[in-house]
Amino acid sequence: MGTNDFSTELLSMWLASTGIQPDKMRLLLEQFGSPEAVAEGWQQQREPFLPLLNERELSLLKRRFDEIKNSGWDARIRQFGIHAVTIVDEDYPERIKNIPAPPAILFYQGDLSALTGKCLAMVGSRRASYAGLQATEKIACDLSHAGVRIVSGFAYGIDTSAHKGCLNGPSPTAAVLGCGLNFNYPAENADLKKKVLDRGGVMISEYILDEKPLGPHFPVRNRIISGLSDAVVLMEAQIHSGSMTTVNHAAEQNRDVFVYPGDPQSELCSANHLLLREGAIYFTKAEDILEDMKWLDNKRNVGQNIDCSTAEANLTETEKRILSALRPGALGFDQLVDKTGLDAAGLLSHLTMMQIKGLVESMPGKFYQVKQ
Amino acid sequence: MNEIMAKTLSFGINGVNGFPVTVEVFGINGIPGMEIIGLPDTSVRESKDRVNAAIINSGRQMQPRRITINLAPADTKKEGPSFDLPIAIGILLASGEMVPDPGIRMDEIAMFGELSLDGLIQPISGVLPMVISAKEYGIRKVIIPAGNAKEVACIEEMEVFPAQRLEEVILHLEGKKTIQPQKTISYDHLIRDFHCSVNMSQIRGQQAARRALEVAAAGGHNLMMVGVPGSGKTMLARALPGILPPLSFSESLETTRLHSICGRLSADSGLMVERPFCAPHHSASVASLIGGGPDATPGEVSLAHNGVLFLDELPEFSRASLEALRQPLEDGFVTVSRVRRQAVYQSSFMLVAAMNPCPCGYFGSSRKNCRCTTQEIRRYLDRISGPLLDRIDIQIEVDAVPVQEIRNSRPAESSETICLRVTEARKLQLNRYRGTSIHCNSQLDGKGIRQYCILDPEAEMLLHNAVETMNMSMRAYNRILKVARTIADLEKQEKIRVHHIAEAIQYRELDQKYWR
Repeated sequence: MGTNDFSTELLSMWLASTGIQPDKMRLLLEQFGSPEAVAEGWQQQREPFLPLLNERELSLLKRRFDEIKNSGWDARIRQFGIHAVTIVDEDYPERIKNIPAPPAILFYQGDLSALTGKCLAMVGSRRASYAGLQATEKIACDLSHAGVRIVSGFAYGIDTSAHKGCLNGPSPTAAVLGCGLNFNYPAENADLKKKVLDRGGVMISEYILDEKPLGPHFPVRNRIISGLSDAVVLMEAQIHSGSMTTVNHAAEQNRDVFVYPGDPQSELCSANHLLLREGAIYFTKAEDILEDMKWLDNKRNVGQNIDCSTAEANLTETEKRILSALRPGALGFDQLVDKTGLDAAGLLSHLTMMQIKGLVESMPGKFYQVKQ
Repeated sequence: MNEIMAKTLSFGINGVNGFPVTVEVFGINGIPGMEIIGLPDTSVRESKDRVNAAIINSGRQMQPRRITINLAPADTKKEGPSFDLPIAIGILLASGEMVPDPGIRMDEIAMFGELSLDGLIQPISGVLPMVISAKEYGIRKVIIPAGNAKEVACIEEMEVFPAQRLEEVILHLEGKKTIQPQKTISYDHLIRDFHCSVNMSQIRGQQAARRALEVAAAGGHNLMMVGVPGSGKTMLARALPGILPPLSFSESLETTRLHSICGRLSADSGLMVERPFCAPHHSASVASLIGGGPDATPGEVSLAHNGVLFLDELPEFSRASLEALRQPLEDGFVTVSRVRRQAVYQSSFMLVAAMNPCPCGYFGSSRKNCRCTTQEIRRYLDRISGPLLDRIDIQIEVDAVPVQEIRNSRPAESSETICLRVTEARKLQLNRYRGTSIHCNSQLDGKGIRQYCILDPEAEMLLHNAVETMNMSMRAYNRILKVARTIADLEKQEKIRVHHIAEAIQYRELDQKYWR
C-alpha cells in the first residue's frame, strides 16, 4: 500500500504520532513541502532522511505507519471533521510561527480563519470566584463586540466564561485543547463545543486522536494559547497554577500581559497581585485593553445601542415603569414592589415577560437588573 | 372454693388501630405469686408490682394466692403500661375484694391506664386510637386516665369516665360513687377558638415568598426556598400551616391519632386543631423520618400528616433519608415493615425545603461576598437528586430583608385573609376533581395535566417561547402548568391565561440559576 492512498490529515497524524521534535519536524516539512511529500520521501529513502533522523526515529516512523495503516483512523478523522495544518501551509496561523518551538503540525475542527485579525488569550483558574466568572464573561463579551477574538483553553471556570462571553458578542472564539479532538473534555462543555463550531470558531490541538487529557499536556498546550494571541489577559489565578505557565510563555513569546485586579483578600487572585507588582498591565474593563493595544476606533459599540432603543419602543407602560426603576442599578424583589407599586403576583408575571424579551435578567438572591 | 376467675376488657395498639384485649385473671391456692402471659413486653410484665402496691394503697387487700393473668388474644404482642388498670380491677374482682354493681356488665366497659404505686392513674399514649377502636367494636363506655380526657372529648356517642385514682374506679364499679362522664366538646367549638402560632402579618417584606407560599398552599404544592442564612426561611415555613384551610374533623382525628401513638400530645391538649409542623434536624435517620424501630412506630412524615414537613438545610440530610421521602411524597402513606410488625401510616404532608445557595451561604447575597468556587457550589447542589427535585413544584429565592425595610414597610396581610382565598381555591379544585382520587392540583399526573390545564392560545405561545429561551426541561414544563392551574384557581378562572403562566415560570427560576 502506497502512501498516496492516505489523506493529508492521516499522514499528519502519522507524523505527529512519532513524537519527533517540532524543530526537526519543521525542517522535514520545509525540505519536502507537505506531509505527502515527506511520506513519499520516507518510502523512497530519499536523501535528507538519513542524515536528519536517527535510527530510533526511523524505526518509529515505520512502526507507527504500520499501526495507522489499518487503524480505521481515516473514517474517524472524517467523522469528527478534523483537519490538519502544517507550518509550511499558507493558512498556518501567522502569529504562532514566531514563537520558540512552534508546533509543526496543528489539528483543528471548524474554521481556522477565526484566528486571523485581533486575537486575545483570556486565561485563569478552573477554581474561580463567581465575581471573577461574571467579570470574565462581561469583558469577553465587550471585546467580542469590538471585533476581538478570544483564545482560551476550554477548561472549567474562567476559560469557559471567556468562551461564553465571546460568543455572547459577534466574534468567533478559539479553544486550544490538551487532548485529542475526539474527546469531549471537559464533558460538561459538550454544548459549548457545538456552539463554538456553529459560530465560526475553531477547536485546536497538537495532539493526535485518542490522546488522553493528561496533566503534562496542559502546560505545553498553554504555549499555543499565548502563541496564537496578540496579548494575554489573566483574569484570576493562584500563584502555582497552569495560568502562570501561560503568562511565562507570553513573556518568552514577547506578548503583553494584562492582569485583572480581582479581590486582594482572596487566595484565588494571589497570582494577579504578584504580577501587577512585577509590572503587568493593569486593566478593569475592555476599553482599557483596546486602548493599550491601540485597537480603539470610532465604530465600536454602535451596534449595541441601536438594539436597545428598538426593543424599548414595543414596551407596555408597566414594563417601562419596571425598566426605569431598574436603570440606576440592580434591585431586590421587595424594593421593586415598592418602587413600581405593583402587587407581587403582577410583578412576577411582568418580569417573566421582560426576561423572555431579553430586557431584564434575574440574578442569584432574587435580584433583577437590566440586561446588558 | 379455691379457684377464682374474672375478666375485664381493654385495648392494645397495632399501628394506628386498636384491638380488643381481654384480661383474664385466674387465682388458685398455692405459693403466692403473679404471672402475666399472652406475649407481654417488659413494661406489661412489671405491671404486677405496680398493681400490687396500688391496690394496697387504695385500701384493699391482696390475698395470698397464685395468680395467672392472661392477655387474650395470646398470639399478639402487648406493650405499654396501659393494662395496669384492667389487671388491678380483674384481681379485685376475682378475689371478691370488689363486687360490681349489678347494673354494670364488665364486658361492656373498656379501661386503660397506668397505675403508680400510690394508686394514682397516669396518662398514657394512644388513648385516642384505642377509644376510636372501642367505638368501632361496639363498646360505649370507657374508663381512661383523667390526663387523657381532653384528647377524646370530641368523640360522640361514647361515655368517657376520666379517673384520677384507682379508688375512684373501684367505687364507680361498685356503684357507690359514680364518676362524672366527660362532657363532649364539639369540634367546631375547638376550631373557632384557634389561632395559628405564626401569623403572616408578622412577616415583613418577602413579597415574592409570601405570594409563593399562598400559591403553594392553594394547590398543595411542595415548596423549596433558597436563601442566605437569616433571610427568614424558617419563619416563612412556620407560617404555612396557618394559611392552609382549617383541619376538618376527620383530618384532625387522623393526625391526633398518629400523635397519640407517639405520646406527643400534652395532657391539656385535646384534638389537634392546628396543622402539624414538623421540622426534623438534618441529622435525622431514615427510621426517624419514615417510621421504624422494633415496634414500627410512625416517623416524622406521619407526624406531619395533614400538615407541613419542613426540612431545613436540605443538602445536609443524608442521601438515604432524602430518597426515602419519595414514596410518602408520591403515595401519601408509608408502609413500615419490621421483623415483628408491619404498619401502614398515613403521611400526606406538604414538603417545605430550605437550603443555602452554596456551602458558605452567601452566594448572590447583597451584603456579604461568597467564598465558594463554582465546583464547590455544584457539589453542594448535586446532593439533591433529580427525582426529589421533581416532586417540588415551586422554587423561590429568599433574600434577607434590610433592617430599614423591617421598620418602614406597610403592615402585611394576615394569615386569616390569605387563608380565605386559599380555602376558596381548594374548594374549586375539590369540585373539579370530584369522583377522582385527586384532591388538589399538585396531585395531577401527565394525563390530568392535559385534561385540566387548558391554556388559551396566547399562554400556549408564551410557554413555548419560555421553554426555548430559558432553556427549560420537560419536567419544568409540567410543573409550570400545574402551578399555573393553581394561580388561575386563585383568580377563579377556568382557563389558564398568559399572566398565570408568566407568574408560574418565576417559580422555576432556580432551575436556570442553580440546576442548569
